[in-house]
Amino acid sequence: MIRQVSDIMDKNFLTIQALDCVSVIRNLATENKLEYFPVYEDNSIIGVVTYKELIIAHPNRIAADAMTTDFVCIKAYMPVWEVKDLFEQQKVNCCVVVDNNLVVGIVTPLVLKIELGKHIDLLTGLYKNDYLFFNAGELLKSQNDISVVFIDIDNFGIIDKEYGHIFGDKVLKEIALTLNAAIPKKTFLCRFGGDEFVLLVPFKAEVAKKVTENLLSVIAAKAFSNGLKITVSAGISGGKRSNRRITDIYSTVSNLINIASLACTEAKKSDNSLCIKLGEESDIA
Amino acid sequence: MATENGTRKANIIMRLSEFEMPPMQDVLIVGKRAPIGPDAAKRMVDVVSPEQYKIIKIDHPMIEAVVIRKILLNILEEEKLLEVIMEEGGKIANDYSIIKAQINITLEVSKSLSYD
Repeated sequence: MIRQVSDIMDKNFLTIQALDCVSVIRNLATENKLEYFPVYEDNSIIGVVTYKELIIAHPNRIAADAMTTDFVCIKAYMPVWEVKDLFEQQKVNCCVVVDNNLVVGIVTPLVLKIELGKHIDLLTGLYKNDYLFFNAGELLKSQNDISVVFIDIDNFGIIDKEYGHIFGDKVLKEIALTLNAAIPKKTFLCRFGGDEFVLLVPFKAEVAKKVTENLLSVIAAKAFSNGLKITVSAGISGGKRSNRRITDIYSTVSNLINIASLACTEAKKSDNSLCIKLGEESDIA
Repeated sequence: MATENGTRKANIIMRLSEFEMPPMQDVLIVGKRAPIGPDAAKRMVDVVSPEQYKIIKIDHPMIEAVVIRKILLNILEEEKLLEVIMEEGGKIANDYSIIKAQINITLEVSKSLSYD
């Protein structure tokens, strides 16, 4: 399931008033081991005093003169991926989680970094599938077409057996890098598991087919370590959106990935390295 | 006052003058590490002279902001006035200082009218 702000937010904080003195806040920070202090005035949040401001500011200053206003208020049910975009796009210092105008938590860049680290595949550096589910959900919510491309390395088991698992890992890394460099903008690539990758394409199946054909040829043309020639097979699903309102995004996307993986298996069995399954209206986006 | 070994004397000097309204002059140049920040300065004068001052944040290595009397901005454009304040004030201000400045603006107008 896609993680939300409520799963990661720091609940260890103290709210202060705009006229509170920096020296008093410093004492609070030391005594309670706190680093973030949302600042209230007239029942509104007007800023945040962080540990950094406490170090820089003169102890005589009031909170209103020491606080940063580079923050945004967010809701506890916001997906963590949206918070990632906020930090990247708005250059904020922290996010204050509010419920009925009351601060219920803080999300700092460090907290987010720790969380995102759990969703990054250590070997390839690609995101794991949670990232793909989130982006697919966002696209479906905004009435976009989506296609899912399931990519599997041909005969990877044999590579592992003949050259060893360390070499196999090296190949996985190289494939991930090659795919990542070759995918078009607005598409999302993740490592699904083992030697499988999934690409989310926010377009119809015809576009996804062109994108996939290009990826297959890029991989086929590349000389991997030891001069090894490696090929991949792919299956495509979706890309044929019905007008039906999607109520369960998670099961819709799961279904699309499943259809694409079966199409990929079919492609491996056939002479073609690519198989497209548009699926039924009822089970595709 | 008499003590065992001699005498101690206290002299009191008292200077009386009228309370300045507003208590701050026309401009305050606030350093980045000054003990009173621009918001505190504005709140202070707002209590006795509400709505008369404006905080202008400055992009400067040492100066954080200029708190300025709004009426001056009716006479001269903010940008031009700030240029003058920063040119002179910037030379003497540092991170920790709060400099107050008095500014008198005189407008000289000369017009020619034609008449029959």
